[in-house]
Amino acid sequence: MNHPRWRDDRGVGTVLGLALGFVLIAAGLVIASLASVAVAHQRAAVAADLAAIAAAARGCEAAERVARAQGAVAVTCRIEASDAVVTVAIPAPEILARWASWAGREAPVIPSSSRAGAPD
Amino acid sequence: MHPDSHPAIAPRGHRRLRSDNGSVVVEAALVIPVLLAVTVLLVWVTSLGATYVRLLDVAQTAARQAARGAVVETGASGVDLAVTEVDGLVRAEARQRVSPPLAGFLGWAVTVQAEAHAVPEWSIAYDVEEPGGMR
Repeated sequence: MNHPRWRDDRGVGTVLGLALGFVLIAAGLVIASLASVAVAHQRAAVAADLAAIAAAARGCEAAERVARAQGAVAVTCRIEASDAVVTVAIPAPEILARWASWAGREAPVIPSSSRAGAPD
Repeated sequence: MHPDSHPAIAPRGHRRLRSDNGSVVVEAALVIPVLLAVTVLLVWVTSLGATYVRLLDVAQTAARQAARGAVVETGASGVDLAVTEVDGLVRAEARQRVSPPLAGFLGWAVTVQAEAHAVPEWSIAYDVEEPGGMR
């Protein structure tokens, strides 16, 4: 700390502000990523639930239509005894797709499964 | 730090401008509002996500109620709910305007919308009076 140029306080506020800004932006990216994954999970769960109920009432063709209307990209549906079991996949949120392409990977999908049946 | 003890930067100009005293305060005064704005933006974006999840729940419930031929209850306050029928599917749309935290007076708001679809069931065979069977 004996160098003459390091002895004054000029610019300390700017450096501190820039550092704080970077920390905030990094934290923001992490929070936005986590939040968007949570939202996509909820979207997938709702799509699976609605599609399973549709399958139980009107069969797999109806389940497929409901799931597509909810934004699902892949739908599997099968009838087990009196229950319908539906699995859907929602495309990954934009921010996650960007992380994936930055890491050289394919954009993931968010899957969810649900089961519904007619009253016993 | 006194300017006379400063060989690298020659003391020039007005005596008051030669000192470093207060430079940190001035810089902080410029930087802190920017950081505050970024923080408010962050909280806003997060609340948009939370609102979307809530609206999705409202839309799902409304779509199910409408599909079963029940009266659709808006429930949540401040939520704009619309139920239509599109291509043989019941479609419920829930909308809400979300203002930024601490800055609502600016009048900025983002409209968050969630929608849910369901197959109309009011003509199917099983007993509609007994809603306990759906899982």
